[in-house]
Amino acid sequence: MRRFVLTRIGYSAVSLVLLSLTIFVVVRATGDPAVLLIGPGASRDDLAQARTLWGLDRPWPEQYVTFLGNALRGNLGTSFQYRVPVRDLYFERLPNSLLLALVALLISLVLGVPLGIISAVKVDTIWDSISKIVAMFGLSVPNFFIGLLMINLFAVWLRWLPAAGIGTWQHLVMPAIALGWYFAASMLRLTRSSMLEVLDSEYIKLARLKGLPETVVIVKHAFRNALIPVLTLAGINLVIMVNVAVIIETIFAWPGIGRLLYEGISFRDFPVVQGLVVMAGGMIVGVNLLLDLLYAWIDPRIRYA
Amino acid sequence: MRRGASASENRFSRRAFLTQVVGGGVALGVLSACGPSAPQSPQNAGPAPTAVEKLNAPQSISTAGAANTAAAQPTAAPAAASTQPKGQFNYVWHTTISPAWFDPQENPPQITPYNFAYALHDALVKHLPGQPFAPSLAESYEVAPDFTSATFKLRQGIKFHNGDPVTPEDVQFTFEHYRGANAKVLHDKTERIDLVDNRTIRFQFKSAFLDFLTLYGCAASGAGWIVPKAYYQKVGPDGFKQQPVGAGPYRFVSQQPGTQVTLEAFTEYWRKTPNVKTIVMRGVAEEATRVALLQTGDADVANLIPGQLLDAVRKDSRLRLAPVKAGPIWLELGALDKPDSPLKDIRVRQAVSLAIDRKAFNDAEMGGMAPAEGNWIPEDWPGAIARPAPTFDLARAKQLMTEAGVAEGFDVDKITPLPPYSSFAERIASQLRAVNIRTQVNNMERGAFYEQLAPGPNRLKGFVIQLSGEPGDAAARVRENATCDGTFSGLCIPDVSDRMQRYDASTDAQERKKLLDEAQSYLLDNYLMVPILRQALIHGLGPRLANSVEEIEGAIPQYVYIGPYEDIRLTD
Repeated sequence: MRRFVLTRIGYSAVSLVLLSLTIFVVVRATGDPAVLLIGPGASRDDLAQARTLWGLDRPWPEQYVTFLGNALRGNLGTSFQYRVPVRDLYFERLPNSLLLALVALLISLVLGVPLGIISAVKVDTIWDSISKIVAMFGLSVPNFFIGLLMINLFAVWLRWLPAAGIGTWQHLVMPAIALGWYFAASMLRLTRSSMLEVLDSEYIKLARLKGLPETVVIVKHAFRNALIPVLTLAGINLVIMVNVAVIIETIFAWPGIGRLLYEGISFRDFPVVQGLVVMAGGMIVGVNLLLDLLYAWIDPRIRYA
Repeated sequence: MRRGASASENRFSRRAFLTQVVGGGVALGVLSACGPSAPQSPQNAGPAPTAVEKLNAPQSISTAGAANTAAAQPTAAPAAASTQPKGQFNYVWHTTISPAWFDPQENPPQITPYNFAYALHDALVKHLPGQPFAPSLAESYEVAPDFTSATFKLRQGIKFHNGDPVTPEDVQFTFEHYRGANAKVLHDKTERIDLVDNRTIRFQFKSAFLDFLTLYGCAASGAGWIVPKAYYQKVGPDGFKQQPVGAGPYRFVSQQPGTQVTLEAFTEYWRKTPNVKTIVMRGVAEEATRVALLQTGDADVANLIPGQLLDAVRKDSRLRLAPVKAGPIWLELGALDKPDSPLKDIRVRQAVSLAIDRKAFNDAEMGGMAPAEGNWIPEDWPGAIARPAPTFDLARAKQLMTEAGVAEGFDVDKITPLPPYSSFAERIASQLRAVNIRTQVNNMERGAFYEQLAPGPNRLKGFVIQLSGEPGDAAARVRENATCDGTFSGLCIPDVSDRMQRYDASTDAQERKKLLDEAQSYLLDNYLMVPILRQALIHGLGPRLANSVEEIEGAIPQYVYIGPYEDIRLTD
């Protein structure tokens, strides 16, 4: 087990180093940030001065070693655009992103899972059709459209909710629904297919033959097993919602990580892009490492494989 | 001012300076280079700004007479704090709000960051409504007739937000430690700064520095915004960005980097006590959301309402639109994509200009609110020549195409707009099909666009739709876009480049004016730069804003946002 743990940790570390190297090279391939950040009218002196200030006049290997060394010490660099430490920006925005993502995830689960179960249990009925229509709308109507529609309806016409911003629970309602909408649809589809697969399995048939009530069959035997892939998807969705909810954060002026990353990319703010991608990668690698270790702890076959 | 000379003989006050500009004298060039590319040439001064000409009526004063007889004139005395500021003004920006913009020591050559300096900081000299280069923290200033020095006298009793007095040492520290746009040219050309007394500062230059005031007193640099020496040294540049202290009408309260900043009225501001107590600025990138915030009353002013959303504002009788004249939009025909391109024929280039329906373009993109001008450099810019707006004449365009032997038309590889103005290119491409000129829209990432605007083998070919909101003057714009080594130039024409070289070398104002006029005329007469429209930045104003549009939007020369902040009034 010890060797297994060390191996997995080693893989995770290598993954993060490779990720940092990749993003380091990729952002530099996009071009010179000075042109964008200093402005089109900047003189050559201004541009050269900015490159020196940001350390971009040094060789790439030297820049990378500096970046990696600082990152290992918890310093993600200083944003070219904001001129503040990326770490401060990240941890200032992370709670906002987590809050939005958790509420959106909750909405997607509350909407998607029950509808998916109903759709699977009442397959080929009107309930199934309604669920399919809901899923189709969720997957095909872009969330920015839903967001703008809600702003017009609930903020401009009805004046029930604030149009954008952050501060109160009312500010959270529309962005969470708009963000959760799409994920609810995917959750619905996965729950439905997973439930259908489980409901068709032998042990469910046996349960029914034993004369168990249908509610017990569905809730206790079918749903619990069908939930495993749904929860796996929920975990992935949560990471996506935290890190790349760019459109919703932009429409609702929600100060989250996704918008910060988007602005970083738009302005070639290398430290921001590098820092956020490494942090997101760290989040994913960390979760995967934890799951790997949990699986190995639960199932000894994995650790000896 | 030369030592030992009497004031009446040698002083060169602001009024005299502006009067000379009107008279076309030696000072003609000083105001001209309020542009970012000024350092490319040490002597890039040009003719006077139109706004100044209108402001300063006496046309008959001779150059010499003005220089020898005028006395320095202070601006209006500080207003007493008669009323207490009240209310909160909610201002929605189209961009993120960078903490870097609160530190004028690192000011980039952009107009948007300049806005925040207007609120937080104050300068010895700055543009005020109807008053370009108005004394601000300085009650008066004098530029030596030979442009080798400039002397400023501070107002009495002025303070920073932390209570520290504004002193000549602060002015000196600010200038010497300035590292933003145009820092090099300012430092290179300045010999030393003399602190004459506890209110007087003299900048001594190594040689005649015609552009000093324009670099120091407008958006071409941030060197003019004075920071408190002791505080800046105590907190350092990073600390200053988090908690800036200035001498402007509003003091910093708090910020959420990138998204929001809160300011509070500085009741001891010299010009007047601000009317509004609190200003909250928020960055809202999505256009439709900005309009929604305006409609719900959550925003008192929303910047940049795009053409497709203008009707939503117009339909609401409580809201107003404020179109502010901004940068020009023009079509570059100079970068010919093939050696045998029909565009080498001037008749074809003229046909292109005639085939552009500017009214239709204006109606669709800017609600018909953009001014049509006949130059690709704004007419009210220093040194720009005024021409009648180009006409739309499809029949004549077709006739010219026929005369040039290309009635059946031809292909141009691409038309590339400045991102994100894709719709501009779509409209122009569509209109050019009427004269059988076929082209495809080439959308680029903004950074890549600017990189490919640089001269060289990779320079953008075909048509290029340019738009520039950078403040500046005609010389800077020509130099930047139409000379052989211009930062964004696709042209290398001796008739233009040679004239601009002579212009930069000359100190004769009349000669400089002639050369600049000729260079602009050449580009226009040969349809190498085809003006489309002057862009209108359209801001939305909510019902709580009590000011008239003219009073508060676009009132400050070369400034396209709301201001001055201390003049903002709310209905409640």
